[in-house]
Amino acid sequence: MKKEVLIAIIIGFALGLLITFGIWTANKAILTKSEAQPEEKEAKEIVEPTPPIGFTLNILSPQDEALIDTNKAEIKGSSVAAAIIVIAAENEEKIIEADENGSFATEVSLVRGINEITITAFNQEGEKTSQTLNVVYSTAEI
Amino acid sequence: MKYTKIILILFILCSTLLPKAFAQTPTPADDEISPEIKEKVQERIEAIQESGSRKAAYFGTIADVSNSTLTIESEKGERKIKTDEETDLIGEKGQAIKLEDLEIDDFIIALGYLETDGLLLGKRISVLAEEPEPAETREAVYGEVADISGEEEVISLSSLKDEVTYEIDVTSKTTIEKKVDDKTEEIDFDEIEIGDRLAAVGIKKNDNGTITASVIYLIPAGAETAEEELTPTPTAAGEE
Repeated sequence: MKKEVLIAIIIGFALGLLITFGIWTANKAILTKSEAQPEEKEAKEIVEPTPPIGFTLNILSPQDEALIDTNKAEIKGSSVAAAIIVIAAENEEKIIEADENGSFATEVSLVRGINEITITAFNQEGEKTSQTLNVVYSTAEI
Repeated sequence: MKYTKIILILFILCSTLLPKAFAQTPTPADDEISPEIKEKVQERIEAIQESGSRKAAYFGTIADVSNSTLTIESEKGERKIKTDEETDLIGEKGQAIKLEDLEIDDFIIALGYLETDGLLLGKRISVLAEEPEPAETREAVYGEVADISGEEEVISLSSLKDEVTYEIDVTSKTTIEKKVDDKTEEIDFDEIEIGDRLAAVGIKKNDNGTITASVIYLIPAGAETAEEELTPTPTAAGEE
């Protein structure tokens, strides 16, 4: 191999490596900047006073305006830990206590046709929140 | 010229292959996704799947009938029901009727399948002779027992949130419950004491505001500090 060819190979390789390193450094700098931005935003969010978690009542089932083909409906939902849950169905009332995770589940009887179910939750401070569901119990084939 | 080609080839090789090795970013491992997020995602997927064509029922008074779509006014607002040749329309006396027979202000119950835009594909629409009477409104209250009238079986309940006092009337039909070892047990009226917390549900009398309770749920006073009470305390004998 000629001396000139060897020199050309070395120069080409070195030049390629140099440019690659340059590109890699630039990419790294851009990535670091873009990653740093959400962190800054996150830090800002932490610094800002967060509003207290509200006292909520989420009903998972039955869904409002559901069509149910059995004479019982399972009431499932979540609120705060140890919340007192009062359920008033068409011809039945129940009071239960949510577990330590705030989850609750019970069954209520339904009457044929329209059923209004009001679910009320109380937390330990006596705050109250409620939701009313309308469901229809029918065995008609659709 | 020859050398220039060699330099160029090496330069291209280095520039194209090496950055790919650097560009690879690690994918998050399954372990990094918390069970709570997984659970919420699963719940959301199930909800979306259910809402695809879930059975639903709308009821209310007809506000408009245009083409094959009914608009009704329900407690939850305006609802639209689409009908087709497969929709069964049933009159007040159970007879089969046609869409033209429906009138504004008729009270209907529509059973069908909910479409993604909230439109109900009606499969069975029944006309009711009259709007059903709503069930008696029940009042739910929670507070601390301020006073008990043993003879009349009336409890005065102070709200924890505001300065309101409820009068709870206990009858022979009232069920009084208490949680014992994670199970709900029925108890007697005598077990309720001043200072206990309780929740009650019943019908509110309009004349004096007294709530005739159907169910009472008792939380005895000090139930939250039961663990502290279990801690043995030094006896007076020891001090003597």
